[in-house]
Amino acid sequence: MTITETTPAAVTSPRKLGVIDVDFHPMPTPTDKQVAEHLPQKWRDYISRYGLGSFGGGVSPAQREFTHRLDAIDENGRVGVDPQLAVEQVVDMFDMSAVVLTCPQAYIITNGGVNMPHDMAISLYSAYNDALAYTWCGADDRFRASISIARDLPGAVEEIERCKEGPNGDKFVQVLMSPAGADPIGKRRYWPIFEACERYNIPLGFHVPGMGRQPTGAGRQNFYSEMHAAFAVLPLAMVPSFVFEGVFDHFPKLKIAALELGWDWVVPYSWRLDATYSKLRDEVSHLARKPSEYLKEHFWFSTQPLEEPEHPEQTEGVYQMFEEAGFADRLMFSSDYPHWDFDSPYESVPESFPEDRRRRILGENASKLYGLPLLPDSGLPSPTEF
Amino acid sequence: MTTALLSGTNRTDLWSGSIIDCDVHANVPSIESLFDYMEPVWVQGTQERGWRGPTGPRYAYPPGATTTARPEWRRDGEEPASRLRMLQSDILDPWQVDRAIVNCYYGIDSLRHPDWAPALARSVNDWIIAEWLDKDPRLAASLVIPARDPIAAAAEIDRVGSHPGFVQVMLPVRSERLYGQRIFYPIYAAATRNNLVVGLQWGGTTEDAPSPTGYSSYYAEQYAAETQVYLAQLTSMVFEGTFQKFPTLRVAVMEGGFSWVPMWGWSMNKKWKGLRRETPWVDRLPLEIVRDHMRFSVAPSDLGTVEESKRIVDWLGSEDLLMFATDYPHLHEDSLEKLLEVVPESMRPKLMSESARDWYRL
Repeated sequence: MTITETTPAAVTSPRKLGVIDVDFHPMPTPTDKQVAEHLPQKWRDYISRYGLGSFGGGVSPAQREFTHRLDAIDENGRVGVDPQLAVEQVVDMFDMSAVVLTCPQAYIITNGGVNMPHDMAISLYSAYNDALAYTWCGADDRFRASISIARDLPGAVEEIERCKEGPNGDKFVQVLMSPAGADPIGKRRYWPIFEACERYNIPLGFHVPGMGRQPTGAGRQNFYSEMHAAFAVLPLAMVPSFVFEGVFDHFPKLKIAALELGWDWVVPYSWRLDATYSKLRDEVSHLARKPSEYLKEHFWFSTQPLEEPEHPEQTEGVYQMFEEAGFADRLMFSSDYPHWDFDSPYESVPESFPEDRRRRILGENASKLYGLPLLPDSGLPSPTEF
Repeated sequence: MTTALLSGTNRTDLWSGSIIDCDVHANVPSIESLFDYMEPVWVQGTQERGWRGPTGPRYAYPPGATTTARPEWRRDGEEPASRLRMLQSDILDPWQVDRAIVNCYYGIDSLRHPDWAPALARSVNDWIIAEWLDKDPRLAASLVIPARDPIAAAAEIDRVGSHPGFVQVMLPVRSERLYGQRIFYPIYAAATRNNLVVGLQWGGTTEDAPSPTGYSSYYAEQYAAETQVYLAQLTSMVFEGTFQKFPTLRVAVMEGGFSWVPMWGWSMNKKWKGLRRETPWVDRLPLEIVRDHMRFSVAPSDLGTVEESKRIVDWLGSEDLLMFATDYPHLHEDSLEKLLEVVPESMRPKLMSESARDWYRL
């Protein structure tokens, strides 16, 4: 029998649309075995007597204890502690190629590590990073971990080195920190962290919440929803510091992943940054290029929470503006599992989008940034298969 | 040319209709120039301490920074925008404005003394009346308040708020607490009682950092990032229910730009949909509240291309939200020709004068 090639040349690819989720949260507490087993007995005892000393948290109770989606709670009443449940509910369900675990829990429960004994803070971050590497990455090959660091404490770089050069080095694909801290991110105190990210060739991720002295430039919000609605204050404060301090002229290979920090603010804000540069050029004459060019070259963004324009017909314009400005390869799917505002790949990247955009956002952009391959025959069905 | 300068063009060629400039600055030339309007105890207090006046203005607008005054508007030996004749020859006459709204940012909130700060606000307001409002009928003005003391602020609003020249209470955007919080209600009660707009303006407290993440190194950083303080303040007012408590309250946003407004509104809408049990008094979509209760000055605009910027204006979802301003004497590089091209033809008269006329009841 002679077999005739009948695949039409015009069909781009029949393969599935590969999915990588770049924001997925383990949420253990320090008393959970997966964290506690990596914590020296001295600090386990200390925590049991004096607690975590975390001021500031809990003043605006969220809508439920773990801000979780209702079905993410396990039989013990816990959320984000069972890797198998997470695999079932998300990773398998959407046939993902990879998941980048992010654990802001480390800086939330320690208040950035600033109001407890220094060695305990460092031990806690290490224990969380080890929990991700052993318990989570050990449970499923598709999990990769972020190295959470205390941005304002000495020892952050040593923690990056410990993780990357330890037995799970290849599992750690990102450094993660809060978008706000004691100082704006471009200050020299943070440069050794950038140097380490360049040295290991891994992106530097930022994920809400801010752990600075105050959550806004004018004090603390009263409501969880209010804080959530104004998450954009964090990148709006972070980006100018990165740009005007000249960080990217010193670290030309540094890659920034802005996670759960939105992306529809990026293009209009790049106009403001360029206008600022033009008006105040004498003050920031050390910059080699316009601010918008650094943004395009060094920043990546995640989808969740999905940007929802007022009217559905405005959505296309929002994506077009982003893509036309040069960010088509900079948006990455994220689910934010197990939180209440979880987005599935179908909600984030609807089937009505052009297929090439869906491919880029669902998996290709993250695959390139994190160096994670899209698995053959994994992902969402391709519309060209039918 | 830029929004503010008329060199190389003609005002009527640019826009033949009516113009209201909703943000021109009047700068206090020196603390001594307020002595005629100040109780003797504070004149004496100033002199014996050798105090040179509040520090707020020079942090918000460093005197030598390019953005603080256009070179054309700097005069040897004189503070820019500090005399009526300057404003007249630089803006009011060449632009043939119907009205201009004078904003005097003097940094009242960079003075801590709880009696002195209100006294300073009184002297500034009386100076504005005598040296500006009484001398040119084209002018209207914002009155200043000691914003960190809402009771004293309300007293000052009631003291001078009925003067026909005052159309607005200036609320500097930087504060130690977010302005939606109930401690500030006396200010909104007094503003609405006196039929005054509340105008958010760059400046405010000089304490703690103007960001969620500490002190910036460069003025340029702070300048670019000031959007986040406006955004936090306005979000607070929406979620706290300020506009349900004060349904006639009108807010104007000066020097904050507007290109971020649609996306910010969408984000608030989304969180309201998901989380509104936390703030049940917010009785409709936040972006609708924005449209009903807020207006935005176009200085600065800091826009992209005409086509990109048209999207932003379209997404505002209303032709009423933007108000023309030069922000005299500050330097911006916005083009008025471009802005007029960006907005639909039916919106141009609103942008140039009608929205401000309506908002300020001029």
